[in-house]
Amino acid sequence: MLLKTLNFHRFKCGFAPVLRASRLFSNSPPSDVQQPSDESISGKQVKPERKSVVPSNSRFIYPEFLPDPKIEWRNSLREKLERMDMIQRRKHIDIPEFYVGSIMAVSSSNQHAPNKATRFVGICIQRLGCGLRANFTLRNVIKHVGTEMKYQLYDPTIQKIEVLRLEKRLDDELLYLRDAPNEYSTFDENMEVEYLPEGAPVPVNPEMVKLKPRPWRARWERKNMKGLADLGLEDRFYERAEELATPWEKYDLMKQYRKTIPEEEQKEIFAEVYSELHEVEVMRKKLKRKKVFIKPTKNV
Amino acid sequence: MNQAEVSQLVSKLRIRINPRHKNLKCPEGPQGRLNKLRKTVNALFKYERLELNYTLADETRGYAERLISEAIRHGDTHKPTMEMADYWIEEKQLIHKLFKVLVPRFNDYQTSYTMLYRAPKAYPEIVYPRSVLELRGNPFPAILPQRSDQRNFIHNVLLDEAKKAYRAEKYEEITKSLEEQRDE
Amino acid sequence: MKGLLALRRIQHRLYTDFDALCHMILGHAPPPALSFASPAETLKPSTPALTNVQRLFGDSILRAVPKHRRTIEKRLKRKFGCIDDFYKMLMPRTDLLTCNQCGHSYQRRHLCPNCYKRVKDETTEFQEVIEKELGLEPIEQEVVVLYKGERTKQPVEGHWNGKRIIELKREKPSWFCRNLLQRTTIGNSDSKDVQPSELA
Repeated sequence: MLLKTLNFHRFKCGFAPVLRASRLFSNSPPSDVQQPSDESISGKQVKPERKSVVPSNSRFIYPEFLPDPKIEWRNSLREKLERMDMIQRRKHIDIPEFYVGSIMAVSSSNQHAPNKATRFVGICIQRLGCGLRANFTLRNVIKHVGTEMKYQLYDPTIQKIEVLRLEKRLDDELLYLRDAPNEYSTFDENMEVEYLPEGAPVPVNPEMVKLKPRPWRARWERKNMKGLADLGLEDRFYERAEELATPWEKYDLMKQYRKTIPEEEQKEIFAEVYSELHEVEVMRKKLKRKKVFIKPTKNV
Repeated sequence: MNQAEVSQLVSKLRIRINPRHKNLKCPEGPQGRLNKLRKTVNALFKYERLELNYTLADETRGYAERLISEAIRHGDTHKPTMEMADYWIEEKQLIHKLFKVLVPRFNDYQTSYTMLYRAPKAYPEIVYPRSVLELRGNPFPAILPQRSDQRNFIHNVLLDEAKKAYRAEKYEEITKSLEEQRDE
Repeated sequence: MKGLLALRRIQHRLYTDFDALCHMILGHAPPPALSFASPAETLKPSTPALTNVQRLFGDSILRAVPKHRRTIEKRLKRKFGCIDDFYKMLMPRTDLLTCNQCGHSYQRRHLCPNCYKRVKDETTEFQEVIEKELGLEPIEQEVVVLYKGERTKQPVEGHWNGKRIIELKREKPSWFCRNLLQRTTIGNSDSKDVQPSELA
């Protein structure tokens, strides 16, 4: 029934647009219209595609809706049921768009706390899992002690997820903050929400982190992290890293393919899911804008 | 449990993908495996039909299809695709072939770009299962017979009519003999 | 000297009769667990042959472990089947079919060897010719290999436009026809009943 309402059409090979100048990883605002190509490479006249309502960057906003690419663990029925449950949960709580490097605050239920809730503020250093098991880790330094909390996105005990500062970093994982001085991971618990103009691309924080001297929790010189400043190691470390490096992996087409969900499948999934998600988003925006009536209380 | 990579978009391949790659028994390890596959992909683009062992053919099929689908998707002005083609294709005249001949040929295909057949066993000389890997639309004679509708060939049409006529005659004879028996 | 000899005698006795030594020290017979493998003992003659059961249970420790090597005869019987001991039914092969085109046998889901051989020989010829003609120049057109006399025999003018044509100096083989109604190289029969002209 979702498919009917969206009038979504399966793309045929010849009608697929040739994205010659497009950026693979776009920071641009969601483009609601996919530009059709009038002529394919063979010079034949191609019918213009219908406008698709699903934005092209859904895979960045809702990455946990994409299933695990491991073929042995795929089960279309289970994935469908999971997606239904995820949408149902999203109707009760707002799970915002966030990336690794964003500063977030999570209020989760705690029966022993005074307000029956504990609030934790931190920077998102890792995002793992797919489907209902999607999780993220927040890191903060509280009273000079580095603390990390791992939250399940669809945990029913979570009361609120707020994004205090929406931004991206140069890496997909910030686990090196564990080996960095505490200044890089300290965030004020009473931080206020920093708003971005609507429709603006997500800003990328180009901060380069300078780590503490060795020993570290991982061999960062072997990991090709872009957000690390000069590690200050002896040459032998870099030589060994070069020996162990696998530069041919980036050309391994089938390995890439086995790690990704193909575009046609992604489109199907988001087409199925998008209309309900969009409805929920719109409702929330309306509620935000509505003027809240505060009942006047007597001041004795 | 892993999250799917979202930084790159890939087109869906229309062939069966095995959950795990085959190691291909290379002394140089994973790099050697890629070198072997590169040579085979090169040969496939050059000769358009190869006879080789089944496991190698199955592996190269995936890589060949991926390369062609990337070329169709991004075209020849896209830098990462060109670098990929440069790595995978050793004989540089075949890069021209990929973008100028194979891409227009396969642009509107709804099926896979390659075909993989199981070759007859060359027993007792060769023990490993053999196969034939070819690009579709090649200029060579077809491997499988072209099954056309043989019912409409003139000799088949005439034979059918002859059969019908014969049967009709026989039925008449039988009914006549039955009537005669009844009369008696 | 005398003392040394005496020591020697004692040593010899120690080696030969450890039980006596234990008797001397402990005052009673040595415990049965203590068994001293003296060189003298090992040179004793072998014990009489024991039965299988005695050998199995003699140690009083039975481990589920093969006691004897399986002979090659037993192994082969198990592998290939022996009517009396390891019966292995001969199963018929149901995956051998007959090719509709040539009548030879072929394995199910595989290619017919006879048909494939013909195609393979033709293909290798084509490939050699193509490689020789094209060489190392950049390939920008589709390649078509034509037989003798095929170039001019096309219904539509400009059928080969945009394609690189390579000609072979042979006639088209009889089996290589996409349409069986096309002209073959085998000459027509003398009978004038039906003329297959203009059908291609």
